[in-house]
Amino acid sequence: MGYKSIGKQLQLAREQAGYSQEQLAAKIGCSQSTLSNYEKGKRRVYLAQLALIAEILGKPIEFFLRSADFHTPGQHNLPGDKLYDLYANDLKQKLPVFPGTGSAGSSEEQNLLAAYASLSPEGQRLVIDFITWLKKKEALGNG
Amino acid sequence: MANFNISAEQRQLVEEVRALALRQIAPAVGMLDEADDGRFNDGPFRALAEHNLLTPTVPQEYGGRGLGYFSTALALEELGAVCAGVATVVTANIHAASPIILAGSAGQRGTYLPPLAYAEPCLAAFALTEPEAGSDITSIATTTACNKGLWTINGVKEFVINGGLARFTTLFATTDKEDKRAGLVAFIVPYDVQGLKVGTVHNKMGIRCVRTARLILDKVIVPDELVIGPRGSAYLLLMQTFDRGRALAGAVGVGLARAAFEFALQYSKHRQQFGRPVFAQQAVSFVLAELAARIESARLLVWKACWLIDNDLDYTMASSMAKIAGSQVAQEAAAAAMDICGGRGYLKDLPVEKYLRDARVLSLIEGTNNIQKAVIASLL
Repeated sequence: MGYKSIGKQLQLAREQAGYSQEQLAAKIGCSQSTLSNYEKGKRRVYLAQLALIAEILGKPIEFFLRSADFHTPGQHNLPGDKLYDLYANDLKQKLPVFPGTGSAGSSEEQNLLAAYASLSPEGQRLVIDFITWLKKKEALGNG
Repeated sequence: MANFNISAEQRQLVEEVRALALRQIAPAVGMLDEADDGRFNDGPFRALAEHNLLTPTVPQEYGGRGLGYFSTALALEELGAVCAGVATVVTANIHAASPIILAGSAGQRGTYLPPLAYAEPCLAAFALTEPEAGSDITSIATTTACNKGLWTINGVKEFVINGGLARFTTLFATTDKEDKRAGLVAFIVPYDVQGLKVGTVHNKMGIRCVRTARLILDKVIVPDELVIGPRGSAYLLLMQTFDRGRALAGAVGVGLARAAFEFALQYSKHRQQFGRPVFAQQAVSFVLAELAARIESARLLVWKACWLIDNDLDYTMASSMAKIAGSQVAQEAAAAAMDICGGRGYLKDLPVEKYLRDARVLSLIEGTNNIQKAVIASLL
């Protein structure tokens, strides 16, 4: 009924923002199990609650309403988040030479990128989302 | 919730609505049901408006009675017992007001809610269904686009209760058919806006006093101020409106079921066959006993769902259950009443055939019962 997709986006946004379920639940005034059920799509999140979550996580409401694979023409599914494209492109440029192709970079970087390459598209997206969030945070001096 | 006593205030409300329904609506029910000339009789709605019961959920600060859903369900059971059609018009008004109450701006609330509480009847409509989009609301084809703060809407809405009579219509359109949920936008469309036309007025099997029409939107233009809720919120607003409205649809069913049951009970105690009242036959009394239990259980489901709504708790599943239970028991009670009344029940002399015709639609409107089952299943 659409709420599983909303729940997935909620989980993604929460993880991007670096909150545990307990932490976000405390902020929005519900139990961890309620938030868990929102994320699983086992409970419908109502507008007032989602508006509050969106505000805390710094996402527009549309973010939660769109499935992960939705793309509007010429626009990534994270509207306005240009950093995402920047890091995604950066990683894609590096990826073809890994693993074991003798490219530059420490073995740790090689291992990380090899691990990234082995992930599902959704997993890769989560990694890029996390890097985007982390870079933003460091840029603001809160790293 | 463990307290099953309704308050003195709620008891008073029940008595008020029961008296109003019996004195001012019941005498007109037959005439309302027979009318097939397309004219709309606003008599019952005038009486309801005089008691500020046409949209009882309008908050007091806007002139309404500010009834919670529990109290509203009590009122709707009384109306449903007299005429499911009249009760359905009230639920349509509540439906239309719900998105404005939930997410409307101060300006929208101040403009569109007070008239719903006037002593002169003011009807509102809720337009979502389309010729090609019923249960699957993410496939709606009514489009909208914004240019410099003005939204142009094009499309066709079907089965709109109060269509063509409403002072305003709460309406849903999409900015992008591919963007199924985030692309939805909720609007208030005033009755006098250019390009809004009333199409076919439908002739129906039951709830015949309800005006149900097709609405055609041909380059309707509304300002940004008439968009309800923050950007991207319409899907959630719609689902929440459904979740709340379904419990009330259940209440209408409980009312109809009660009326059919009470009629059949009285009939069975007076109708003599084989030298004794037919009620003395277990084949009849057991049917009525089972109906009594089913009506009570449906009523409790309605009460529970409405209590959850009033307390801002998770009400989705309870509301769908209430809707299924109320609509099913209405059909069961009406069918049983006809069986108990025999051939006479089939005649228009008795109210039973109207109960049966009216009850049938209750499992179709407010989301079919199969959709309710899909909602419940998705939450299991």
